Amino acid sequence: MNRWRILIVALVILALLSMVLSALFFDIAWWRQSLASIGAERAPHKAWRLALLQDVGVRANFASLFANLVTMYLFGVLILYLAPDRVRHMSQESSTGWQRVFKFFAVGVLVIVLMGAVSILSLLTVQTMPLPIILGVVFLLSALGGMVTLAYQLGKTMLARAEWSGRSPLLSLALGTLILFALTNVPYLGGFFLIIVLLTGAGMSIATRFGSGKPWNLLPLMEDVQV
Amino acid sequence: MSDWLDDLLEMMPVDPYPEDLAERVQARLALVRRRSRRTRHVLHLVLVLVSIVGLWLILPRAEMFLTSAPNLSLGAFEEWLSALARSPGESLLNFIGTIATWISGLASALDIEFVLGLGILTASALYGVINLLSNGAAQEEVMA
Repeated sequence: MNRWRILIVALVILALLSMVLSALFFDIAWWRQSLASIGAERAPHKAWRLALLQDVGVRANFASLFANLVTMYLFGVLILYLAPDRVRHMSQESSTGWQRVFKFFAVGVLVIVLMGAVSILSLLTVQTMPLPIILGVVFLLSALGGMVTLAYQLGKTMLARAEWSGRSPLLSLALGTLILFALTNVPYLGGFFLIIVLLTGAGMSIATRFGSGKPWNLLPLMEDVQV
Repeated sequence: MSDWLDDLLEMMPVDPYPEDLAERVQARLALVRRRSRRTRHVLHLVLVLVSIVGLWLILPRAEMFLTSAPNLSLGAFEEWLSALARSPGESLLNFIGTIATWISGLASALDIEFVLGLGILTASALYGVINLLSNGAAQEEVMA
């Protein structure tokens, strides 16, 4: 059996195990507990296995995890169907090496600094007050689109190494989404990882002009001047 | 009928070109590239220093920015949601009022150093993004 196939199976099992452990022992759905005020309803841990399964908080954790995973995957499917060419272009750009991915991360960091500063400055004038909301929405969509592309590329690369490359793109997306989602739900470190993935995704979307592949320069305007 | 190629041919020197012309052209190109690389490094260093100055101007005032922000706790959000369910119009008006109060408070608390720091950070970040996004580095690699 191909070594990569064993690795993929092991990673999937590890990802599922990590998510189950996170749901059992950490408050993933802390916001939900607070909203529904169910934090105080935790069952006494006499028989801890039964208690964990009966615990309303743990059930909320599992529900939250499942809902998030399904939402992320369905959003990815939507992006794949809406803009397959753009996703392909972005994934090709990200597959050229780690240096390129690090460059995308740097672009994401610089863009978030730029947007933060511009957002604060724009609050000072009436005309530009809606800018933070618009910029925020654009950045969020870029980051999510980039994250979907990263998940797709990760799954595609792993399946290709395992010589399962003839499979559907949806399978590549599912594998990548599962691994990325498990990593972003690791207690304490998951938040940092999520920020890194979102910044890299946003940087990738922006650097590739949302997957259009057109270069970032002012040549069209200069051609106009020359004419 | 002469075209532009004939004009160019007429402008070319009739003497044979010097034997070391190719080496001189290459040396000149290398010099120009070295100079432009050095200028870019100096510019990067200056921008890093300017960004540090910008952060130094902003960081002491960041507390003011955070304290003037409205209460964004989960409890406040829950209260706002229940108020929105009870009377949507009134709660939306209250929300707009809160935002307007925050913005006016922020605007009155902002001083010239903070705005200057933000401007510096914006300029540095913009330069960094443009530098990363433009293909200048790649083109230079190809030329080298």
